[in-house]
Amino acid sequence: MDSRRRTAASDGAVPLLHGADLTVVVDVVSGRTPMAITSRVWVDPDAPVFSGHYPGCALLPGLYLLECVSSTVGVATGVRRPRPHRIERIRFLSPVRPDDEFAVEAELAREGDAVTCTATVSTNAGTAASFRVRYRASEVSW
Amino acid sequence: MIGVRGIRRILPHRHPILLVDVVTDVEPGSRLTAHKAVTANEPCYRHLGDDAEESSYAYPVGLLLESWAQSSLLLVCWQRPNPDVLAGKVELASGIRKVDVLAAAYPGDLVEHRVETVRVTDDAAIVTGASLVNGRTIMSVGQFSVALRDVDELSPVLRKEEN
Repeated sequence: MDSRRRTAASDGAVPLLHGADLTVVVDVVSGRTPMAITSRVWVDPDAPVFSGHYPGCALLPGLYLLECVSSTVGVATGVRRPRPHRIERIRFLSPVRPDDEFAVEAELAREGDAVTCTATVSTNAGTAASFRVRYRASEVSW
Repeated sequence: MIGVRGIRRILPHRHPILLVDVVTDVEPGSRLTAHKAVTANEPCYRHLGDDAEESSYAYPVGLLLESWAQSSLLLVCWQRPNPDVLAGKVELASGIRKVDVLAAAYPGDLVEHRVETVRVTDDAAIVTGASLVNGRTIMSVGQFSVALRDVDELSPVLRKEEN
């Protein structure tokens, strides 16, 4: 059964940008295994992180995207701030800028006592990053 | 040993995303050890209420990895400081492989980052290492790749403001 859920950073879904700087909308396409998830994230150009990364050349730190992927997984599975226990790989292909809107497309699959998340983050300019991350099935389940 | 003043002379990262406090040991071109103190005043805890579970204070994996990555950049840029991306290079992570998160750091913990060079070229580097708390490994990093690029190589909107 398909389901759709929405949340926002004010719920604590994405705490790293100092408040309600991101809006996450999760569309759980399938309730079965593997679970397909999409979310959309808007990056507030006034987010404090940009004053430090980097002065005069604002770019979203790439590892913030990992937290956005985890937040997307958390919203979809009803888990607050799931923590990956294994990062198989992350590839960063292009930077994310202030005021960018990007989409997270993720697929979750159970593999023994782990849940593997394969995800891409894309902006209008194309794919920004790809991920293969594992969570403990005891923490992330649906 | 160098503190924040010395770190700011090497890295372009600034508050609130400068996540290394002190470099305690360095063998230029080979290895480096740096510390990051986690406190309850970290911005990532800002929205936690009085009823938040203790586990909510686990330092986010993304920030732990970012802090470790900044330590690796200190090693990569030790002999070619890069405190201003507009005058020097933009440091962009290009890839991460085989990271195991074994435990969490919490407010009060002093995280020790250890980084070692695998390969360095003029515009890229590959490093490996781990993060420890009280001598216990909480995260191991198989491989972290970083690229150093001129700001003008990026999208035009990222170019130095003319005015």
